[in-house]
Amino acid sequence: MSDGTERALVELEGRQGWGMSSQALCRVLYPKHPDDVVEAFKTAEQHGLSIHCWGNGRSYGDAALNEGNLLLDFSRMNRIIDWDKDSGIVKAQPGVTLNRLWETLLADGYWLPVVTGTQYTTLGGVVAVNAHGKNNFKYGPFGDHVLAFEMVTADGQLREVTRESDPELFHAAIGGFGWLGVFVSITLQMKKVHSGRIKVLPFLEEDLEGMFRGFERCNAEDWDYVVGWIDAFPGGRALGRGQIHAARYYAEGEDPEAVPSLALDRQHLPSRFFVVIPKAWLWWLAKPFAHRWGMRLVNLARFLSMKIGDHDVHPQEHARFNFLLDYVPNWKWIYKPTGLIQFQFFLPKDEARRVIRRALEMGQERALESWLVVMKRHRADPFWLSHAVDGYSFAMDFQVTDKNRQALWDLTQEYAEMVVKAGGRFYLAKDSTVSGAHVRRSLGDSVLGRFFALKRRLDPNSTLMGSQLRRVFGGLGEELADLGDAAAKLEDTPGEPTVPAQTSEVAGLPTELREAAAAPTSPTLAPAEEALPPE
Amino acid sequence: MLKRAIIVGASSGMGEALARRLAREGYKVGLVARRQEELDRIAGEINGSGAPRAFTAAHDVTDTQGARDCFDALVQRLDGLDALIYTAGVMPPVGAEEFDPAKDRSIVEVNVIGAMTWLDLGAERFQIQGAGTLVGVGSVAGDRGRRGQPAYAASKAALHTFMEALRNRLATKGVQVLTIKPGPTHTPMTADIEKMPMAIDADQSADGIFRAMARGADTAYVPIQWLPIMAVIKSIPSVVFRRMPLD
Repeated sequence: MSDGTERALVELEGRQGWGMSSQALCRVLYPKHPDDVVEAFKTAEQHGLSIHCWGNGRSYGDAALNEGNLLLDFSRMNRIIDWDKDSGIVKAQPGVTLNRLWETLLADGYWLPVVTGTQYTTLGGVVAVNAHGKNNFKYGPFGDHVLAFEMVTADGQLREVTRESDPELFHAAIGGFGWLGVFVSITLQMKKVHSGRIKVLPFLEEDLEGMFRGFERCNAEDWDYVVGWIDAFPGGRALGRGQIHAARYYAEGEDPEAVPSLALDRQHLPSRFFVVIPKAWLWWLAKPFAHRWGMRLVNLARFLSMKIGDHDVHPQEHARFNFLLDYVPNWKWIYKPTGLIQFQFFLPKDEARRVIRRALEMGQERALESWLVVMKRHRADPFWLSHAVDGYSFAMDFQVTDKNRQALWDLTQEYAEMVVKAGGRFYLAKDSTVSGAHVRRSLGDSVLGRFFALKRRLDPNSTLMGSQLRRVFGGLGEELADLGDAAAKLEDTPGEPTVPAQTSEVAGLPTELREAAAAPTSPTLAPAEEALPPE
Repeated sequence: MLKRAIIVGASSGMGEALARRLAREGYKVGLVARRQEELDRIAGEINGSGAPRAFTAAHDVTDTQGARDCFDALVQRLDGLDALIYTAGVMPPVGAEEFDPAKDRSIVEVNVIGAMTWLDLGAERFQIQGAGTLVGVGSVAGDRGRRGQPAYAASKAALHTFMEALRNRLATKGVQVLTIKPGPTHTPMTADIEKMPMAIDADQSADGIFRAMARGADTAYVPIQWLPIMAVIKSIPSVVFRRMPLD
């Protein structure tokens, strides 16, 4: 046993979700090589511990925590293994950050096909949660651009998986939160770009209906990126007002500054605001506004400032357009000391108007308006635990305090109920509150059953387990795995599973099981609400 | 995720009221006391028909050797910890002319040694975590040495000083260390006391403790009226204080 392993077994390290509202003490290991991951599984087995993975700690809630158990911190497994600039294919270790990737590859004329709102997420993390970007409606999630991955499973086996070699594991492990195995390398197809810049169109909308019209217009005009910001405070006719940013790649030869714009110094975010204010001070300057009325003012000021801003199409560097969350370093400290949660839900496009309008109204009725709301457009994808649907997502940041905690939890549970009834989904990468019952109804027993049955085959002792899996699914995994095994037996031919396109709980199951699922007579098929009451 | 708190001394009085209050305010709670059946009753009422929010562990705080296992087991059940509240305490009746070392020792074992044991466990964890709230329930009785309850008053004074020292150690590490000084409170521990000036009930006391936790206080008199009263009482010279009709 290495010194690091011995130390991890006796010394606990404090780890915190990025939102500062979830913490855990974990036994942290720092693998440098795939063999170290294999060794970690042996250690876990010897000491009866579970294993979960930590990238760079950018998940808001408990997605990367593992209280009292092993946490594999991939900060020392962060090499770019291979980069082929002719094909645009990169192979890298999971701990490499998106920042490191784009800074390495941009000079060759490539950008990441999908990026998160911060560049400090890791490749392993974004593939494990199958993260999306502002271009999800057009380019899909990260998983759509993964060509292959190497994964160590609980039996210590190193598996190389492609979409073709093992479609089941490929589509389950991407977005599988590290619950099936531990990524040790990922091969990704990068996107060729013809400039270091992108054409950006900002425009304001005076109400929620305008926001939807704006998104639809951008969709019709074939923009590559579309993202909306909404002021959650005004009601009445101004309910849902906000701003949309649409962006489009330059075609080859279109940008006269194509070559110089690929330089890194052009991409870096400004270090000062208004020329003189260091960015590092901004959270501290904003702290006096960290209350409901202060944030009402901040949102109003932002909306009004946009009215007088530039509304024409203008060029902007990729990094400056994409990494909005990095403009204010440590902006989360505005929410000190109790932290924040983000609640993001995904709705089919036909339901989005109604549910989002009601969500904004409910926040206002309870004086629990979100301080920052972001809206995006999405498409469905083939990954088993996918959060995306053909529709819209709505992400809301909330300050958590001892005084509002329960009210906030109640509100998010009501949101969750609305989302499930509307055929929507949740994004566990950012989640802190959603219940297993809601996730189960959202994804459906067919998919979850198949997932947990696969987990049982790959990880029979449930070694891969984190705080979030325990919180959301608790002891439900076995029941779901039974259901999945039953489904597998009824299927005529094995192979790539049919994943429900969006909402049907029994889609993808053979007829016999579909009928069984409809009749709540079997204990394993009882309604989810009964099996796991909402927290 | 919900916040997670362990309440030591949760089977009755202030501890029970605080457990219920925290559960209503979005906490998962770990309940510690000697009587398992009482803990089960309270946990059952908190949990109702919903997902479990209260977990129990029967433990005698004088069993300092067993505290860590109990603590670890509860932390595992709660999947972490954000607050530890020590409310356990004893105040057996003491006669006006009684001097009983065994009784004094039993008071110190629960009110001081038990408190130090559990608060140390919390402090050790929160120091690594860089966050957390430690609450020790002292008493206004700990502010002066009245003649009626020498060992009880001394035990609470010891707890106050211990809490202050913990605060000085942990304040820069993101840990809130809160000393609660309740005035007379109607609980099973005080059921036999006839004179209870300005007494409040356990729910009111729990409300005061929760509010002090929420505002990040260091020390809180519950109710707040005891702050000016004790300021005056603490300033009375000993030669005068010993002649006052205060038991």
